[in-house]
Amino acid sequence: MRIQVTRSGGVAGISRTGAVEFRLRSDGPDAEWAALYRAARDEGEQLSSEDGAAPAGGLGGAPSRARDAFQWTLRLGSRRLEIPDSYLSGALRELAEKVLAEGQG
Amino acid sequence: MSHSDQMPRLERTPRPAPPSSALASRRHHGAIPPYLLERLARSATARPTAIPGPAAEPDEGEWGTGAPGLDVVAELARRTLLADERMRHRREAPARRHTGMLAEPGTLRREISDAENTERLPGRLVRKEGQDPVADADVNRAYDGLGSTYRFLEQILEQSSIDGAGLALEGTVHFGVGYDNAFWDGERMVFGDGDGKVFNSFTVSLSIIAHELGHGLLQHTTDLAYRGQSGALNESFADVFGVLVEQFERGHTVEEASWIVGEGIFAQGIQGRGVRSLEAPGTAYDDPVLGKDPQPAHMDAYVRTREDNGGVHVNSGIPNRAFYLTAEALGGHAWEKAGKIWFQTVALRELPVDVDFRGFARETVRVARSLYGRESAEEQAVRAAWRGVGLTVRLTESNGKNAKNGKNGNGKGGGSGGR
Repeated sequence: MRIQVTRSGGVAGISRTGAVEFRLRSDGPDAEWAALYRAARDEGEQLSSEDGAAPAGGLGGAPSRARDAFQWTLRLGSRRLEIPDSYLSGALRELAEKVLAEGQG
Repeated sequence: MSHSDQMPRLERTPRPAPPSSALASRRHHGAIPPYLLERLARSATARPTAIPGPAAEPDEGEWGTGAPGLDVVAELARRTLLADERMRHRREAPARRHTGMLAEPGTLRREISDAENTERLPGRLVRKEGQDPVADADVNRAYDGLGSTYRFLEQILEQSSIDGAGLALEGTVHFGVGYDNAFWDGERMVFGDGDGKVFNSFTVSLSIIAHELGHGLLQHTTDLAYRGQSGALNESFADVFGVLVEQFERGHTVEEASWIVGEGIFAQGIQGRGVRSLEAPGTAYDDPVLGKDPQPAHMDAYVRTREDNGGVHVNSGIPNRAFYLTAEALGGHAWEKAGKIWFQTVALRELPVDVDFRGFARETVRVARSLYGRESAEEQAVRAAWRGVGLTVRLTESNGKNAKNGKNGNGKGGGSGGR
């Protein structure tokens, strides 16, 4: 499984990107990533099943009155999600921040 | 694998993940307007959160594969909202048409709240108008910054607060834990403390505080759509407003001013003067951790990207440089002429909210002509400034009504970039 995360925007306008690759079925050091990914994916399902929350999770670039907010682009395998900072939460946020923090180089 | 294209190896303090129960609700206010939520909640295309594509692994099949792609949904929503914004713009415009700079009664009212390292807004109210300074320097800097911005609005732009009607100025400090950002949430400015390694507290810079209020000012005048070129114009206007408030506070002339946005927000050891330079876009920082300032200073180097709402913080370098060149040509205090022209351009509400650089440039030239006269030094300075960044403006004198006060009285809202 390959996950790439970009956090762009913000008043400073400085983008950051990180990526990790791990095996989904593994007892080794990948197990932690796999568990976090599954939790994040479950929350993604929750996002898409709740009224109101679904477009939030999916509409990173949509006009709103917020300015200078971070914009997150998550690539989870073949999927691409754009999420405004204000909607990225729970395990999905934990995963995104962990990839940025540890997935450098 | 080198996936860290712009900013490799940034150290950052990881934040504890918020509880999952917070998932269903917004983490802070104002990111998506309610009417959009309603519209999309009713829409069958609202569900997918991913773009369609072949599932690389069996485990991945659960996220709405086969449904219309995110980009399609987003684009539809964008068009809808853009239309909505235009409508709203037109409805509201007549009330302020022909007025330009406003002089309406109002008094300074400030409210500073403390999010206490959560991401809940507004937070706990800790200092309101007239109260003595508190022990927390961030609170006092935010309070003072709002005061400086209000004075600039009142004395230079001759209007009360950002809405011209004395709207209370609100700010929240200590948002999140080590949060590396400051933003405008649609109602208030919000400041993170910075991680201490790359960024200091975002309240240390008056140009950043005023930048956020510049977004608020636009929201109440011409609310340039936050995407692509109009989004970069939104960012540029906020930068211009940010540096002008700071220059006004310091009494700096064009030559004395730093033209830097965000002086002091980089932590010690970071190689940079601030986050952007209006004088020389692309030169504000160059650091092993941060990378190099990516801003273009000319249309030749315009950056096409999907990130950052289409590069709104990147391509703002082009109109930023045009403003600087105008100010440099006219000399003195930048707010006196260049600032007046730029402010009038948005205050008159003639532009469509999705105007591009060229349309905005044309309007600034037209405003300069209406304020200072046909082929005046000011008009020529503005025209030359845009030429300097690769945009040639030609005004077609369609009729004789373009004289004084800049309005041609066509009576149509939304304006047109094509005159």
